[in-house]
Amino acid sequence: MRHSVPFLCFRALAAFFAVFVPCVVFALMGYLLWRGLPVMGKELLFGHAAPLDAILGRTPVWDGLWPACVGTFWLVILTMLLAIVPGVGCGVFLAEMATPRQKRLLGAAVDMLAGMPSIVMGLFGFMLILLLRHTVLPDANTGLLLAAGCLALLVLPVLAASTREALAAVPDSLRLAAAASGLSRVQTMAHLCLPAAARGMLGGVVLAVGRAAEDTAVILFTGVVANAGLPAGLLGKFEALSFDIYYISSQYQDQQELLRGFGAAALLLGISCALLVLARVLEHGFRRKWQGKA
Amino acid sequence: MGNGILHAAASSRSGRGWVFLLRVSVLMAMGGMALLFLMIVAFALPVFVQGEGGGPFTWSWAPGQGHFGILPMVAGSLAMGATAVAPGWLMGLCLCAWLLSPEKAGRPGVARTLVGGLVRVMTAIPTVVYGFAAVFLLAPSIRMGLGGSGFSWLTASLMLSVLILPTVVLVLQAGLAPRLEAVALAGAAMGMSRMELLWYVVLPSARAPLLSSAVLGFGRAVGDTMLPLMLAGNAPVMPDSLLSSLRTLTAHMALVTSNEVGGAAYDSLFMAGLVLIVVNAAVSLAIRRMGERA
Amino acid sequence: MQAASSSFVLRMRRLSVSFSGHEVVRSVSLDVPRSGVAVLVGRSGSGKTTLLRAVNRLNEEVPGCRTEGQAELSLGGGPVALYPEPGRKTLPLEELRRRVGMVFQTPQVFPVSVYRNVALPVSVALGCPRAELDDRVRDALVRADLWNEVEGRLNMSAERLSGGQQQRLCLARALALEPDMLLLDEPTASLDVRAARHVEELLLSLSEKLPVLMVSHSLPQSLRLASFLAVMAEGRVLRCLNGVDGMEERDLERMLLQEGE
Repeated sequence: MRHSVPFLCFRALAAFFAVFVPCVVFALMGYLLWRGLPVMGKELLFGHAAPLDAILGRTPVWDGLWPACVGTFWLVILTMLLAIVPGVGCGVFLAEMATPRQKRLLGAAVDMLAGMPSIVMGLFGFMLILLLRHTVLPDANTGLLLAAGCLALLVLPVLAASTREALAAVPDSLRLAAAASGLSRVQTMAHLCLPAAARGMLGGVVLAVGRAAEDTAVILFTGVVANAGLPAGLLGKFEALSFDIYYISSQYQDQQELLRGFGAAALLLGISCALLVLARVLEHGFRRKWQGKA
Repeated sequence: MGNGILHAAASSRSGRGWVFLLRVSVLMAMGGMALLFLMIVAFALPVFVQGEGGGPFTWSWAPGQGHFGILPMVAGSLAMGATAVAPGWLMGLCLCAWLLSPEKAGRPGVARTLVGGLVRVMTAIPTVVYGFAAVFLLAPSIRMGLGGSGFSWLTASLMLSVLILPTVVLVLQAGLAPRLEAVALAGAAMGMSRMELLWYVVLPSARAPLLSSAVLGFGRAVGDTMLPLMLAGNAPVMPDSLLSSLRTLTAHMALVTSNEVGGAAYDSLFMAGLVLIVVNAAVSLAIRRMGERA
Repeated sequence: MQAASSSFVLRMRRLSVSFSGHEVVRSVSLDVPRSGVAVLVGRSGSGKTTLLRAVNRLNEEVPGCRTEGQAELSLGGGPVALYPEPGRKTLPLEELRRRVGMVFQTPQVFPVSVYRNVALPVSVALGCPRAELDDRVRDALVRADLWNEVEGRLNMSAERLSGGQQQRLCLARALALEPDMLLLDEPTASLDVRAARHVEELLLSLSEKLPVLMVSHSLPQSLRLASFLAVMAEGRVLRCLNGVDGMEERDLERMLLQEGE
């Protein structure tokens, strides 16, 4: 076969990018790790404060990432508390109960929400506070709970989509066999389909945790600050790892703070990748169970 | 048996509980989404109606002089989206073609497994981490190599193209792989390699995945906040070259909330949110259309 | 008592089933006797499975299904209409399926333990109290001749059983609900010869107490088991035979060939 010039170019480009893209990613991430890994240690987290005192909240940490880590932790926990029931519920509803019409409408809505820029969720939270200030609560202010609520909206489609997929992977023959045993649709769902899909659904939850932990644009609008210390409560301002990275990149005062930024970036990168791998392992095991060994 | 019937009734009551829980969760999710849309539209609409000079639909942003035009940012977002998609889509297509055409049919081999895994890991890398690495690696390189401040349209769009790459690859892979498998055997019988099949047979007939991957990539690029905010320089004017500074809608929103305190500046914020929602809705509609046609 | 003495467990009149407009079972009228094993034979695509699934209304799980005509079940307690008819009583769907047990072509064990496979429908669909559960599970496993093989491994995942054991587990699961009738869809099609024979013997002994209606893919098997035989082609029942004694495989084959023409 004689090849056209465009094909030869395409084949050459394909081979080139197969090397180039990994190189770019490794260069960027390698650079981060090269600068960030050496500063890993309790200094990075606690600065000059004694670790135990800092963990118990007895001494404020001014030059470490501890408050940001705690802030991100609570943010993620609150987000998941708010998002899991509606998110997973939507997914289950879509997979098991929706009529074709509901499937189309709700599916379109979830897709639309999934593509929504995260900053729009942030803007929404910000507007909510403006509205409250002008109406019932003159001193409403942004804070942890608001940020978690907006992040919940952000991760909701992730949860819904992965739950729907996990349930769709449960074979229909199982549902038929259950129906033939006199189980109603809801009983089949509760006693067989949900347990069978649990691993896949858990994978979705882990992915959603990753999304909530990495997002910066939403919390930018909803109460994150650079030096809040440990979060004061549900309505208090808070620090977050992702925001600290952004803040340090634009406002760093000295070399030490810059290194802390590298440490924070390496830390967040590690957390995100670990969560992804965990989600993949969960989902992979699940699929292998259902879709055979191939 | 009387006992049995009693229990059956009880379990159908728990069935109703499940159905109720699912409906409530769908209502919660839908309610959250509806509130988000309503709020942004309700806040943005009055701005349409006012229509004074210096409103959002002008080309000048100078809050000090009462100019609150966001058109430069709208143009900036679209331009940034375009320059990010062009290289990102090309890289994604080439990489996907390479991933789909192993030398030994049916077995991906070590290199392709690793690169495929890397693409998945890339989906989990936080944007703020990309941004941080680029601030200290890419921006100085561009400053030294090409001049300017280094924080420019070019810098941000290069990083955005890396950001959207995994989206493009995964969408293309999902669309192209089944088409390729369908013709693989017949093609192999004619002595065509998988790369040849892709180029001569599959790609010409695969408009839907090619287009939808580009559209989805564009949507993600326009919606991202952190990379333009950290890398594009953020001057609220139209750029005159790839090396000059540019401000996108998303970055504009982040800057306004942190720098301004209400009034017409906030009006522009709501308007920007509305524009983003409209762009996203258009993207998601276009993709649904293509999905239905395919 | 009058109903129970009726010699037919199932009577169908002009029953048709179609999926999205495509008619699979065409105006079938059939009387299935109460005693012995009734067998439906026919080529693949002749509508046997759909006809079988009309009996526990399982076709309705598939979207786009439409069933027309009349059918009547006599499960004890008087004949009831299978499908809604004006002025007649029908069984609620779940109760119907509890009382008409079914075993599928490929063993459809639930992805849970051996014990729970049997216990789940009993406790969830029937609402059997926890205290009686152990006994019922054991009874069912004994009746399906599986108890000796799984006695010490009740908590093992059912998916680790062999194919024949899985199929008998499905049988046990159906029997645990104490059905008044048993439907079997090519129950031995995916089993090796020995396991298949084992299931066949079991069915013969079960049929002494319980009406059994099965679809069979194999003519020799039909000859071994059937006390009533219905031959199907293209969605219609073309011939019914009461007893196949003295028939040979050849005769049956010729019959099927003729029907195809």
